[in-house]
Order: sequence, then C-alpha cells, then structure tokens
Amino acid sequence: MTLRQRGFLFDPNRCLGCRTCIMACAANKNLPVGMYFRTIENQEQKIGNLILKYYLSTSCNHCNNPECFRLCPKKALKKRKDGIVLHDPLKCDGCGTCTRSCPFEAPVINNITGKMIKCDLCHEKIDEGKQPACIAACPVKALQLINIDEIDSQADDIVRRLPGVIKIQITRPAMRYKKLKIGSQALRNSVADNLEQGELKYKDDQV
Amino acid sequence: MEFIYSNVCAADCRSSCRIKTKVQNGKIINIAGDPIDEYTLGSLCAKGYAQMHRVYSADRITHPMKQIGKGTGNWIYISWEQALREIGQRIIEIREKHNNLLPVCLNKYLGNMGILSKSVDGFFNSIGYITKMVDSPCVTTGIEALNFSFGASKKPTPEDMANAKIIVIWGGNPAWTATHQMRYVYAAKDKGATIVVIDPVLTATAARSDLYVQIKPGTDMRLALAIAKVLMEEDLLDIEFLNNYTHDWESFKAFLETIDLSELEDATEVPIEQIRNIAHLISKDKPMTIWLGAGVQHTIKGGNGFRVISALSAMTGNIGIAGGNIHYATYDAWQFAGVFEALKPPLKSSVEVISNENNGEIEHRYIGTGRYSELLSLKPPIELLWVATHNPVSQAPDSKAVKKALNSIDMVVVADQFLTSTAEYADYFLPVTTQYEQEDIVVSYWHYGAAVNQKAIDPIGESKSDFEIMRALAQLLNELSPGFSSFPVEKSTSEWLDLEMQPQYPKLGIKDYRELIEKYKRVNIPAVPWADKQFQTPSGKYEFPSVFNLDKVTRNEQYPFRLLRERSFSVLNSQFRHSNFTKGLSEKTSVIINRQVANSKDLEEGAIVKLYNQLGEIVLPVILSDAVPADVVVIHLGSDYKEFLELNDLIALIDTDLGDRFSDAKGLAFNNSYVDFTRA
Repeated sequence: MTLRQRGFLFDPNRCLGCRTCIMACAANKNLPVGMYFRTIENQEQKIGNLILKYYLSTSCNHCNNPECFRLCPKKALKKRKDGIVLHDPLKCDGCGTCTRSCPFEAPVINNITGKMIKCDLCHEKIDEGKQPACIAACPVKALQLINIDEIDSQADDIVRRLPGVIKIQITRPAMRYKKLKIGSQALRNSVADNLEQGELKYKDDQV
Repeated sequence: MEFIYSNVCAADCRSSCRIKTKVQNGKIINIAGDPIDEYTLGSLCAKGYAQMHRVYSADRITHPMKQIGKGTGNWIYISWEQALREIGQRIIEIREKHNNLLPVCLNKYLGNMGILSKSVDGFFNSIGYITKMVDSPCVTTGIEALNFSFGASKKPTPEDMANAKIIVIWGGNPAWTATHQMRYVYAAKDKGATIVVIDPVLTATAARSDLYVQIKPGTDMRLALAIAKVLMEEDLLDIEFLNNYTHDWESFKAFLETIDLSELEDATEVPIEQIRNIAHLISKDKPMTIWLGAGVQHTIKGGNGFRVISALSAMTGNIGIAGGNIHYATYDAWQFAGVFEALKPPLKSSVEVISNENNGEIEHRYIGTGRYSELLSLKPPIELLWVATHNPVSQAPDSKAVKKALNSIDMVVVADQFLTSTAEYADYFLPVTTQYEQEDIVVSYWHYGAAVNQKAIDPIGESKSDFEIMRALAQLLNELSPGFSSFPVEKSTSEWLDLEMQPQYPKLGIKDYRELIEKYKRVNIPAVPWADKQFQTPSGKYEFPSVFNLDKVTRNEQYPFRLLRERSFSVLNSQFRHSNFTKGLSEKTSVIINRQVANSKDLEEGAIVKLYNQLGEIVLPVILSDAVPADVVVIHLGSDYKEFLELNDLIALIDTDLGDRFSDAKGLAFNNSYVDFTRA
C-alpha cells in the first residue's frame, strides 16, 4: 500500500480541552519538564447571542510543503514516503531556523540538548501498527490518524480550518477538522444589558 | 533490570486509573495507563501522566523535619526516632494531664484513597477517644438529600449513561473532572441523545452540549421547581410511577400549584420559554438521566436543590430503568471489613471519664471537616493536631482562620509529601511515600473497579507510608508507656489488606487480592439502581420534598460579584500543585471576568487585579471571557498557583441546608462567597 500523506483529523465537537494528549505525548517521549510537542488553545468568540467555544489541539502538522524542511541549513529534516516529517538530531545544530519558520511553532529547542525536537507522529508506533500516543490516550477520540488524500474526497463535514484560526495553507498542513457544531444557548443577558446603559445593576439573590 | 508493576492512582477521583509502571535499576522510567482497565481503557488524565515527576520532584520532602517556630520556615532535619519520640511523649503528657485524649485531634481526609490509609484512623482508635474531624463538607449535602428522597444514595454504573436518550448535566464539568465519563456522554450522543447542560458558566462540558442553559448561581432549586411546575401543568408526568412508587406527590403538587413561574424566571434568569423547553426535552422520551455535579451542593440551598432535581426524575418515571436515574455518588463499593475502624483503646484508657452528651457512651468527639474556626472554641481545647492526606489551609473555608487555628494549637504534625500551605504551620513534618513506594488497594467509588497497587520502587529518602508511620508510633508509645496502644504492630501490610478485603472477595469473585494485579474486577453492584422500585425510605417509596425556603437573600452590595471556582484539568484540589511537569501547559491561575464588565472597568486581558471581600484579598491576572456572566467571577486554578495565593482566603464558612441528619455536620457552601475587584 502506498501512503502519500499521513495526517491528523481533529474533531472540535469531541475535544474536551483536558490536555491528556499533550501529557501522554510528553510522558511517552520523556520530554524535559515543561516542554511539549502539542498545544491546546481555548477558542472563544461571541457572535450575536451565541458563544463559539471549542478547544484546538495542535502539534506538528507534517505539512506537504514543510518550511522547516525547506529552510534547514543542515538538511536535518526529511519527509518520509508517508508524509511524516522527521528530524535527524545528529545533523541538527540547534540554530532555530525551523522554529522561526514554522507557522505553527511546532519545532521547539530542547533546553537540555540545545537541539530541536518535535512531534514525529510516533512513526515507530505506526510502523508497528499502533496509534500515536496522543491519539491512543484521547478519552473521547477527538484525534484520528488519517490518510489526507483519502479523506479529502469524503464527507462534506470535513473542513480545512476552524472559526477564529488563521488560515495558513501555504505549507499544506496535513491537518483536517470536523466542522464545528454549536448547540443552542440560553445566556443571561440582564446584567450585561444594564451595563450597556452605563451602570452595573445587581438584583437581590433569590437563592 | 527492567520491571513492570501495576499501580493505581490514589487521588480522590472517579477514575482511580490503573497504571503500568516501568522501573529500571530501581527508578521509574515511564508510566502509562493500563489497557486492562475497562473504565479508562488505558488512558490517564493530564495530571496522571505527570505523576512520575511528582515522585522525583525536587520540591518533595523526604526527611522528617521540625520547624523551630511555626510559620518561620526555620526547619531542621531530625531523625524518625526523635520526631516520633517527641510526638509520642506529648500524647502521653496530654493523657496524664487531662485523663483523656480529647485534646488530640485527627484531621485526615481524602488525599490518598488507598485502603491502608485507614490505618491512621486505626492508630488513633487504638490509643483512646480523641477529637476527629470527619465527613465530607461536599457530598454530605448531596448524599443526605438523596437519602431523604430514595432512602440511600445509589447510582447506575458509568456506562449505563450511554443508554440515555436525554442527559442533563447540572452544575458539573465532567470534561475536566471526569474525562473518561465523557466517552459515555458522547456514546449516547452518537446514538441521537440530547445533551443539556445547566451551569452558571459556559464550561468545557457546556460548550459541547445541545442545549446550554445559563442559570443564575445558587438558584438551582428554583429552576428545578419551575421545571417541575411545567411538567405538572402540561401533564408531562409518568402517572403510573407517581401513583405506585412515590410518597407525598399530592402535597408536592399542591405546592407547585402555589408557585409563580414568572417569579422563578426572574430569580433564575432562565426565560419561561426555556423552562418549558427543558420540561419538554426531559419528558419527551425515556430514558432521561441526570448528572449531579458538585456545584449545586456547594450552595446554601444545595441539598433541597438536589431533592427537587431528583423529583424531576421521579415525575418523569426515570428511576429504576436502564439509562435513567441519577449519576451522583454511592458508598456501596466500599464495604470493607473495617478492621482499623474496629480497633478499640486498651482497657486502661476506656475507664477515662468522658461522657457523651447524648447517651453517656464513651466515644470520639466529632467535628465536621473544614470547620477550623469551630475547632478553636472546643473545650478542652486541642493541644495536638495530626493532619494526614489533607491540606486544610488550602481546602477549608477561610484560610486565615485555619492558619490562626494551626498557630494556636500547641503541636501540629503534618504527614505529607510536599511542604503544603498547611505544612508551613506545622511543628513536625513527616515525609510520606507516594503510591509507587508502598503496597495498597484502591476501590473506585465510581466504576467500582478494585485494583492492587504494587510497591514499584523503594521509598524515596526516609519516606514512610502512613501505615508504617502509625505502626512505628504505636510501637514507640508502647515502649514509653506499656499498653498505651492496641494497634497490632505485628501485622504486615499484606495481612492488613487481606483482612480489610475479606467482605469484598465474594463481590469480586476472587479469593486473594493479588488476583487483581492482572485482572480488572469490579465490586458486584447492580448496573441499574432501584430496578425493583423498593426504596429505603420510611414509606418504602420515593419521597418528594416538602419544605422549601423561598426567602429572598439580599446581596451584599459592597461585594457585587459571586465567586465561583473552576477545577482545572491540571490539579485536583491542592494536589498536583507541586507538579512542574504540567506547569508549562497553556493555562495560568487567573480570574475569569465577563468581557463587558472588564471593558467597563478598563481592564485588559492579563491585567493584574486585586480580588477582595470581608475576609481578605488575593492578587491575580485577568482573563476576559464571554463564557462568564456579568455578576460572576470565576477563579481558574492551574498548577502554578501555590506561589501567590490561597483562593480560600475569600471563601466564607457557610452551612448548606443539609448534612447533619445522617452525618455529624452540615455541608459547606463553598459557592456562596462574594467579592469585588480593582486593578492592583
């Protein structure tokens, strides 16, 4: 089977923002204390009377056209046949070009070795037929390992970006998202309405 | 040499995750979730993965210490022999002076859910009748509410939630406090279930719901009454259930007829059309289940709030059926032998003149957990306090009052792993092992899984388990004063575990607890409670509540913002504060303030504010959010917060409405404090 581009499918309708993925990865890779390959951002914006709130979990996107790969002066990065972007610590001199060039700030400099480290999609686990640590640990399956080329032709509930996230497509990140769904919300507005009239008013608590 | 051990997280959490620990040359090199765990399926939580670093944290204290002057920070290392001898001699002196041990107080709580930590209670039982801080300031309210309504607090198994067609999550944020449970919420949702979240704040859980209802904090009972009234008015009732299995429905109905929906709308700030909408949703189909979170029980009407919320299940006939019921709490999985509890002082001390006010029997003097300001007024006063698996300065209301109490008690002993904010006020610090350094058993109160925790590594430094500390102290006391303690010092850890587990063996289908090392076994409790509709109330039926206090409470204008806490994914109460491994996660301890309110006060994201009320003040950065209503501020606790604040400096000691009928004290209303704030 030829695998052209491995990547992540992230479902914002399942992600709990619990950070288990970040920590499972850090424990699995034995990362130095306080360093992580993955981030979770709380996304929140109010549109009319609806708050779009979700969490976004991101690591290296194993881009189709990775800037890190293109710009590394030591040619320390390589792209596997299945699209996984790997890094050779023997060639790396920790110059940080990759960390500055990556739009997703995925490569980080290991403050102990001075060299770059980043998500390698747990390629050794994948080669053994297992799931990457972050995906395996997610209690609600918000992350999935996909073949990007296959997913594109599929359902229309897959999108390339989520609301509030800057659209970066130049590097062709191997990242797809489920379309965000928000339920109905009955928000309290009375105090905020008062506020718009220039003062905070609070009613007695009828607890 | 590399070994793999079975461990289990001993934190006070529903999941009690099984862990596989990889040990190389006597050092833990990796931990991972154990895939045989049928509840966690091998995934831990963010803090769970940080445990290895907690074991080897540079902040950990692994030698006994004595503080020369409480709160001075002037600690000196001492030997175990010296520490236990000085403490033991003081205990003996107290008894010689008072002819009883009531001036000795034990404050042990839930920091370690391993059953061997019961040995701390066991030790004090073995020396005399003392003062004990007991019961949970949290679940006593809720458990008592359900005791009144059902006769006992029972719940379905976690996975029964997947059978529900409507799930109402009321005042809880399982996305961060019970992540594994969300699997079943989503399983139900994937099959078409509707998820309703009722909460003052748009939490991570609320953000994933089909309907989020933002309730004014503390008005849960009123909202439940309003929904009940609509169910009654529109005849959305399960008449068969009401007629056959409930008690006092007619008077509850008569009461509902007297209340005015528009008044309840005004109080709860949930519009009448939404109240009707909720009533329609919870009655349109069966089964409907309710997740009762900790939020409601921490308010002054939380107990009756729970009773009326549970009435919604009864009115719609969602009790005793698969996929229905109330997911809250039960003690049913904890039927241990109680050998530590059963320990009695030697005959010599039982002739002490201690008369219980009620019946003249000799027993311990009890005071509710967290009630430190009340501890100060006891006669005879406390002269020696032993704190184990607990951090009351951080967790009890009014931290300053707790510190004052600790300062006034002659000798304070804290047994812990880290120099907690309570340990700062101790005279002796006794270093305790983590679960990786001792054998134990944890039985989950949520999924009932029973797991053996193997000793994976030797104790770090001079640390001892709570059990070993108590055993050593018992031995020493008997040397100093023969016959002082009846603690059976000759029994080993495994003998104790085996004794405590005897009643559990048939329920687990095992003959020896070590069988649990490689097997996931659950204490055998029915998946669906109340299936026979035989309730344990006096009437044998579900009993509707009958007393409602609908008084208005005048808000203190000086402090206009209600203070609510958000438990982060990276801490469990004050545990995991010392975990540097989670410290870089993108969350900082902060106060979350409504965006419009912040704008009106010219406060920008990250601004530093002083939060204050009649009790004290704390300083922390601001996060602006639309998810928090304008009259509420939310303190978000991250793993970085030990350095600069004690949130409970602002939390008043206020009783809830229930708790002292089935326990020794009412619950505490942690969510009933108000603050104001200004740029610092």
